[in-house]
Amino acid sequence: MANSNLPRRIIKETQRLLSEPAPGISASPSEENMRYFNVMILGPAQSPYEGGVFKLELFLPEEYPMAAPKVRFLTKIYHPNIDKLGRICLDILKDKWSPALQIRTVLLSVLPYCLLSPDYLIFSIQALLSAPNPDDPLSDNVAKHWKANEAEAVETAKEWTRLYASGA
Amino acid sequence: MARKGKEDYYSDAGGDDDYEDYYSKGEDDVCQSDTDDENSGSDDGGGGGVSDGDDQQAMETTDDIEPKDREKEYDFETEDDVRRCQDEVTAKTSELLSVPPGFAAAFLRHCRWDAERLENEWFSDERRVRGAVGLAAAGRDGDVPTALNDRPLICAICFGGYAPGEMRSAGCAHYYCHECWRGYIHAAVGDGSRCLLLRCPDPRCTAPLVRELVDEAAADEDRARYATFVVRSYVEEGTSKYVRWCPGPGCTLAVRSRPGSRLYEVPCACKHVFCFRCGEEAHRPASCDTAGAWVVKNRSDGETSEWVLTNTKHCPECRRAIEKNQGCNHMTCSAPCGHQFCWLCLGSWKEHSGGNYHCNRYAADKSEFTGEKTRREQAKASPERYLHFYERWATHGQSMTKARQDLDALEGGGLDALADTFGVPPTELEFVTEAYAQIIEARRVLRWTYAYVYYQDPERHGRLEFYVFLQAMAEGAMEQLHKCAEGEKDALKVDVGDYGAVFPAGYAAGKLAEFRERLSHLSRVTRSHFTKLVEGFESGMAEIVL
Repeated sequence: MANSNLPRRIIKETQRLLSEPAPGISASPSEENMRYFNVMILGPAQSPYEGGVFKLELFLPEEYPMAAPKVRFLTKIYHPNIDKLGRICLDILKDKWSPALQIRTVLLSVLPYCLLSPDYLIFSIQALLSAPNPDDPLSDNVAKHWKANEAEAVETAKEWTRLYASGA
Repeated sequence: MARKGKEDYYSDAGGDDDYEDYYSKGEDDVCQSDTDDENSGSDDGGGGGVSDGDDQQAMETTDDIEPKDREKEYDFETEDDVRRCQDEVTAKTSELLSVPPGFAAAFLRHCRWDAERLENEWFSDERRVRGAVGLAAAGRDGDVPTALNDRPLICAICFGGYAPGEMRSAGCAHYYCHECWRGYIHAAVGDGSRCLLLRCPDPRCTAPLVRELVDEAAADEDRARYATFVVRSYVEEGTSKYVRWCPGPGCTLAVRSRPGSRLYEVPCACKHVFCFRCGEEAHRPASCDTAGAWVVKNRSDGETSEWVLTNTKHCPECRRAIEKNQGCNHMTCSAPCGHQFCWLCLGSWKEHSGGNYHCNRYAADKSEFTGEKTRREQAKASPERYLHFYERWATHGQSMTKARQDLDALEGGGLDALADTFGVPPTELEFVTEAYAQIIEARRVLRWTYAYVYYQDPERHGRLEFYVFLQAMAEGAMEQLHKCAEGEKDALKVDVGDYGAVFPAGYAAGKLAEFRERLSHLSRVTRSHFTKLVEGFESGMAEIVL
């Protein structure tokens, strides 16, 4: 079974995620596969995602931590850096990954970056939610919308948050 | 081929100005391979278009450059030659800047392996050069490529605790265990030449990973692969205008152009003849742009070429074809280029950050690399027209391949057998292999004239007539030559085999002399036609501009 010889690093990271959860984020490993995490993130305050609860999946590939964890939004979200499949356009999940980063850093930085507002620096996922960055778009249409009419795009994002992420 | 036309035609290739500068350093003295290499290069490459001395005499009338000079346009280098040259530059620089060789190599790489440029930059602003590779100012002990821990620490990658000496750093304050370093380097090396840009794993630390650390910390296999990337970098990133790897399948030779030469076509020792500028198969008289466009177009079942046109663009910095495999328009070209640009307008990504994202620039800027214009032109051109040119281009290619196989067979014993039949030493029959070499070159030139003409404006009848006339003359001569070389050779062999014994000695010799006379004559005629052809096509005629 995949869990039997889990690297010490993954065990320790998991223990710490469970014992000292970061504010607004919960991550718990699946019972069948300790490399697969169910993640929930609260939409940051003052962002179009405020009040939403977003589900994500996080998977630690065999090469982890030498390779980046794979993270994907499961909840539908209207965001220029997140595509229809929930994939996230973020450098630290791609070529800027370093083994000295952790699940916690990814969740704390990817998400906030994602969800705040444009021109926010790329730091983590909660940040991503706080700062949609249409200059680095994954979803062309959403990015264009954000560029053309930010107020309207923000409204759509709020609408989607109500429709799909209202913690049903 | 006429050297004069070549110069005029390609002198606008750009970057010739620094040619002399580059070579004035005398580096090539160190790097030149020995003469044996060179000779075998041109002899073996005879099939691929370099004619040796005797051949050259025949065309002296149209060629104002001594054949000896032509041969000096380039040298072959093996990977070991390149490595030796690189090690030497690195060692010198290391001594001059008083830094360990690994750092010297990182600095040199930053300056595209130009030692002189590095020297200037270093002594005018050392901090900037250091900053560019992420190296802080030297500490008390000078620059340290790697250090071991002197107290117990926890590895930030595997979270294990380790005793002194069980961890190392990239000379900075971040120590990781040996196992994690091995894994870190293994992952990077597996990712390609990106490993040359590797930094300390701590996301906030810029300390570069250099050779000394890799040699200490990496597994044997990764160390060897890293070393290969280092050598490749020297050719590919460094002086790429002057040195290139031969793109021939399985060939590991590098070709270095000589001072002052405006090298265009290189017949490699492996017999692959390639364009020094674009790396494509040699394509005179078509220009690199034409050849590139044509190759893309042909990568078809039609659909394929359409696919390449719609899904790939060239990196505006290094011009590699890039496929967009994700939705994001922020493109980062893969290492070593790393150029960041916008997929839509191909402008630098720097201009897109912050609030000034204006890809309405798209309309103005798209023309240069996107092939937008070509696409429209191609749509205009009828499929029949394309098919006409494609068929001829492809057929000459096949005939060229066949001639190459025949030449290989001749050189691999066929010539000896033929010599036996005639009762002469094989050296007497070299005119046959020379004819084949001529055929191969002629077929290659001819096939590219079809790509060339395809992109000409069909409305300009006068000019087109002229091309087609030259093409027809050259093609006619070459077909005669090919027929004579193939057909008459075999017929003669049978003839001499049948009657040689019946008639007194002298019959075979007489027949052979006749054949030699004919074939040499046709070779000369063909060569002269092709010289005119290439000159005609290349002289002052602008081809398509993408």
